[in-house]
Amino acid sequence: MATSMVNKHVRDEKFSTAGPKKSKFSHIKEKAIMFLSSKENSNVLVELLEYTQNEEKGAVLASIKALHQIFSTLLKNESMVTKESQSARESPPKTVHVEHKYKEWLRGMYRDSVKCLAELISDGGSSPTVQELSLCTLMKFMETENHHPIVARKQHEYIFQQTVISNLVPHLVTHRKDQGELLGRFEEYLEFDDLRFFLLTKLAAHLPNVKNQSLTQGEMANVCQNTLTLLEMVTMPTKDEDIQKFVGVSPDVEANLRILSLQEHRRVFGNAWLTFLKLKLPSKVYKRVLVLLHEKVMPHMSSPVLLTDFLTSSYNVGGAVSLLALNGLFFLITKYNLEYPEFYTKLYNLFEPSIFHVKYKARFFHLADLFLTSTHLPSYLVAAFAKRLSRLSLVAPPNALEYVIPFIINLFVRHPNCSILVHRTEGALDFTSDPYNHEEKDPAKSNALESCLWELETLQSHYHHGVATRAKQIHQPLPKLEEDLSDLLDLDVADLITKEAQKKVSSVPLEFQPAKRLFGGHEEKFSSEFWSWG
Amino acid sequence: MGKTNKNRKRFSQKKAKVKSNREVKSNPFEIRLNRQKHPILGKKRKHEKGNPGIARSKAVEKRKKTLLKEYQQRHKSNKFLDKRIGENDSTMSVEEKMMERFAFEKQKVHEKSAIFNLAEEEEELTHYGQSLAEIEKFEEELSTREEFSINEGHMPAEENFGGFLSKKTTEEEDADDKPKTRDEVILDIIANSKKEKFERQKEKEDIEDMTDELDKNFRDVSHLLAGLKGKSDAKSSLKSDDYDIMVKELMFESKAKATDRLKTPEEEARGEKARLEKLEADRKRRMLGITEDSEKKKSKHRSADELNDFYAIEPETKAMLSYKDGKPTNPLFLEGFQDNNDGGEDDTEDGNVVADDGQWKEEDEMDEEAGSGDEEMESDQDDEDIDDLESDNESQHEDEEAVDGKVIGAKKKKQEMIATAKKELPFTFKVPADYNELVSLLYQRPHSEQITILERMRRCNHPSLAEGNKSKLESLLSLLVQYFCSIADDEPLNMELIHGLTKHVYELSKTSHIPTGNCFRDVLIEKYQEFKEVCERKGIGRYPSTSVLLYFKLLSLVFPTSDFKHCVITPTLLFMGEILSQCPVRSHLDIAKGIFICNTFMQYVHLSKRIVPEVINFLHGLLFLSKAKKDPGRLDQVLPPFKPIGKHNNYLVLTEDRSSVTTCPAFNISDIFSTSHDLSHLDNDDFRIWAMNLTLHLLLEFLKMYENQDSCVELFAPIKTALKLEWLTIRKYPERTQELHKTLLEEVDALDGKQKRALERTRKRPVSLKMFEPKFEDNYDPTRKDKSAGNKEKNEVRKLVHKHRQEMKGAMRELRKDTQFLAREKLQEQINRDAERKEKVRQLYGMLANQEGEVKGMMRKAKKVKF
Repeated sequence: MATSMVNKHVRDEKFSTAGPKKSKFSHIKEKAIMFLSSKENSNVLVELLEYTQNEEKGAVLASIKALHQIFSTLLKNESMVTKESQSARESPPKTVHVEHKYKEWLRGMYRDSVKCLAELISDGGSSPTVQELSLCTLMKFMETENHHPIVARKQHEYIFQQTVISNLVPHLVTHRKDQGELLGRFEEYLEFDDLRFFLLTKLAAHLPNVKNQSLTQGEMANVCQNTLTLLEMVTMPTKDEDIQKFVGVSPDVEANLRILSLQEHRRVFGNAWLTFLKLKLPSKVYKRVLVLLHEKVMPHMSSPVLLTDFLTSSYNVGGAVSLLALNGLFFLITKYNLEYPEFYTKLYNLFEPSIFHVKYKARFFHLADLFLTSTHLPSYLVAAFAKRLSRLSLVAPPNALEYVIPFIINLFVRHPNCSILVHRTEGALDFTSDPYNHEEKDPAKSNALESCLWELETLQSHYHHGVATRAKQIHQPLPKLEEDLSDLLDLDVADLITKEAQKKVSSVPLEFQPAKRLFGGHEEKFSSEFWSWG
Repeated sequence: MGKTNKNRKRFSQKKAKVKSNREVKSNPFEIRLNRQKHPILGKKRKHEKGNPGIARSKAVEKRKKTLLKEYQQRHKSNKFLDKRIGENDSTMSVEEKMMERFAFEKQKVHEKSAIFNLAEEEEELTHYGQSLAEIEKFEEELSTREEFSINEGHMPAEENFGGFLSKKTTEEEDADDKPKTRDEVILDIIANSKKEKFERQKEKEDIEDMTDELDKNFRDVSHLLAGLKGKSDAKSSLKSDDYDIMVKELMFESKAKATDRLKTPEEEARGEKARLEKLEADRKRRMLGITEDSEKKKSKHRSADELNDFYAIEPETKAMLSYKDGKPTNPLFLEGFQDNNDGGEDDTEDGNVVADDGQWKEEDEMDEEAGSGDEEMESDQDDEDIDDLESDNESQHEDEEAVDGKVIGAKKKKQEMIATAKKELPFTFKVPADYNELVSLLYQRPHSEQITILERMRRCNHPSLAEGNKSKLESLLSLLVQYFCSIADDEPLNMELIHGLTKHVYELSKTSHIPTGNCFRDVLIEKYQEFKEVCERKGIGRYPSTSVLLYFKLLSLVFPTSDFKHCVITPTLLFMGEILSQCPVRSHLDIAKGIFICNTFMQYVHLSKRIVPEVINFLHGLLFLSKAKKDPGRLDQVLPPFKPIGKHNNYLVLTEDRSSVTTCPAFNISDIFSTSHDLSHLDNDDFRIWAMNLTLHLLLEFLKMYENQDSCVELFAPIKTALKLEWLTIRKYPERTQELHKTLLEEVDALDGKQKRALERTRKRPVSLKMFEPKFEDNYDPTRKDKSAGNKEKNEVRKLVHKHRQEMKGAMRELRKDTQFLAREKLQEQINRDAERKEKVRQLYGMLANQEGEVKGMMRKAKKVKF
């Protein structure tokens, strides 16, 4: 201790020579040293606290450092702890009383300073360096406090000191600004199991309060974004044995503590997410949540079934959100036996012409393929899907057609009954119009089984030869095996073009009709009624 | 290798000899002859004779050695340990191993023997009863003997080891007397023939050497004779007068040859028609995407008349030569003329300097060089004046004289020409090496001159003129394409130049098909990547520049757009499709570009009638843009790139009633894409009406094209609803628009009642029953045993399968025989055991009988004693 003080002195002297601005910092530092040197200078602490509200960035930084120094010393020395037995024996009652009061005051000051520092984190005006420093200081406090608690505790009792955490949480997920960067800094702390556990608990407790506050849309978006960033960073342990890393004192393994059970961790994690999802999420966050849900969240929840409501309502929203909700629902249906009424009807209605232009089309088709793998589906349903897809294929871009057509043929492989759509030999064979009703929402009433896939026949003369070749497959006998779609789903037009361009050619046919001009030559389709060329 | 082969051969021969000896001895009844049904001459057969008895006994022997051993040792669990030093140690070399072993052995022997070895004397080594130590003393003698023996031709070994290993000399003599074997005879013959050949060669070389020597000698003497000979030559040349020259000329003049009859115009037209028909048929075949094989075959047998041979240009080069004021009028010939003059000049210059024999050759070469460029022209024209310059190489002097005469005239002509040519463009152009050179050549010239330059450049570098010209033209083509793209972006567009360039690009593309394809494809990919980059940077599709649009159009002229698969056209179609489906309309210019692409699509697919969903979708979107009132409550069904809500959605809505307008002007391509007017030329009702008309017109065309498709109704369903909704606003449009609208609506309505047939898979053709009549094969080859599957891989697989089957059969047979053999052995064992047991039992019974007999005898005796 003494040596460090000496060092400080030396450094301070250096600083004092720097100039008037530096003198302020050295002034702050001196105060910290004054405080530590004798109890008489205790009131300096109040001054230091005031400095944290200072306009100047340098002063704030210096005061934070000073506070850090003071309280980490105090915490390490356990000078704020009142130990009944010890004091009773050594000093007279009156001094005990004074001592006690002083310690009480110190504890109050400690709490205040934690609050102040936490305040700094979410303050709109404070710079990133201040934020980062105060966050680090707080984390340091938490660590020290957990090793040297300010309130005396019994032997072997496990208590996590939550002073810091409970102050920190509201400011991490503040509504004032986007904390993305700071939270990135915070990620390393989330590895500690105890910290994560209590953080999630506090978060779950805090979020309902947010809901009650009357926040504007932008502020709400900030809260949601911050919470999402925080929750996204959480990596959950997968085994009981994985819970080993602690900020504070490692709890006794023998003791049956909540902190040591994976089940409890999962419950807390699930709670945090559920409370988060109850907020009114902006659409960007909403989509991101849906993307994350089935991979990062649901496997780590104690009871993912609780998400059913959320997913169902998302599925009913329509559009891209519905597509994304499918993933989560699929997880629930397959792993948790969720009974979903009219699931296929809704899926059927998700197939719209715009489906080929949305961002998540590959994921959607992958899932749709999964849903339709079941061989127990009624053939009217499968036929309706096939017909709908083939109808949609009339407006699809060539890269989509590359997987839509095999998709349909895969359906026929799974349900050979449905191949009546491409091979009808009995009943009425001449149609004046397509019996299929594409506006009907219910696949059962769409009359798909009475129709044929004329659309695919039409696509046999699609301008891209790949599509045309695929469409010609409907005239061939059914393949024995399904085609793997996974490679095709990610295709885009650029891939098709590069594939075409990389082919080695043995001959390039050339036009034989001689061309004399760019326009107005042989078989000109640029009608002179509309175009003229000088 | 050869040596070992020979050895093997000899070995096998020996073996065969032994075998044949035995065969003779063996019982003829044991030989099995495999009789041939139809003997074929000259065919070797492997299995003519069989020896079943011997084969069987051999097999049994073998089994006894292997299988039986195994069987007998089946319960044995002891093991053979290999304790040889270093046998399983791979790190030791053979020498090391031997050394180790030797050391070990020595030690062992030493340990055993050395105990009792008192005097450490070495054992005396003997050879042939003589002490080796003694023999060593006669070293010298031995060496002399060795030499001697080698000279004699004996094997040294025979001498070294006292000859006791070899046979006696008498036997050797016998061997010499023996008739030579066939092989030896053949070897002799070969050796003899080689020897003869060598001798002949040597003789020839000798003769040559001698001749050379003679020549050399002669040269020394010849200068003495030179004076005499030269004189006589000069005399003879002087003697030759005009008449002689004439006779010679006539002698060497090429005679008229039989040519093809000139075709009548009708015949020509018929030929042309047939050619076009054939090309059209080819196109259709490619459109259906039928078989590459047939195409490949075709490309192999490319006839001379076909496309690649500059068919379009040929007739132009055959222009008639005509004169005006003593100069050929046609620039083509003028050019040739000029070249020839240059050549002539060279000749004279050389001729002045050259007098030596040594340089004649050089001159000849020069002549050829100068002439080679003009061969084509010369063959076309019958002008002897110029031709003479480079004809006869034999009579050099005459030529030079003749040249001298001509040169004066030519020089004059040339001077005149230089004066005129200074004003004109030069007639010869080199193909520029890179793009900058081309641009500097064409820069700031009027378009007619640019076209002329290109034309002349192509003429000068016609592939038939020089070796590397074809590749030059190929590079010229890629430069021109680049140039085309750059001028297509110019403001204002120079349409005449573009048209002229198009013609040249088209004609150059005929030079060679694959480089053409690669060139155009590379440019296309480059354009596509640019487009993609812009899209990624902006996050949204942007319509490409005018050059890309015109490039699309150019491609449709150079390549057949109706092909099922085409290495340039397919990516182009995909590119255009992506533009239409990815780029949202953000200005009137975008509308113009989009509609241009739609029209280009029309151009591309009008023959093949392919489905282009993107175009229908885009035109539908344009109809949507022209819809006046958009219900705020109900969102219209439009597909990307159009959006139901957006600020650009009113771009095609008419501002006022235009039903009174009667004329709808056409838009000029060079105007419509220009960005210089700040788009005000497009933001007016004229443009809107034009766009509407064109949209309807294109829809009508596409509808007619797709009429026969079964799902045409579905394809045009959105169009139909859009048209019906627009029925009210259409009144505002001019008459022409209303007319188009009406026809289109009628046509779309007419689609409804169309009948369609249910789909059905193609039926498998029933497999015909097998006939009793013999099956004839067209290309039957009796020498080939197996019919190949037609495919190399399949053949290989077939062969392997066959081999596998044979091996399988063989293995199974062997296994069966093994089990039979084992069963036999077991039975034999059982029989042996039984016999043994029987014998033992018999012995026991005998013994017991004896005993009983004895007992009974004793009892009897006892009885006797009693009684």
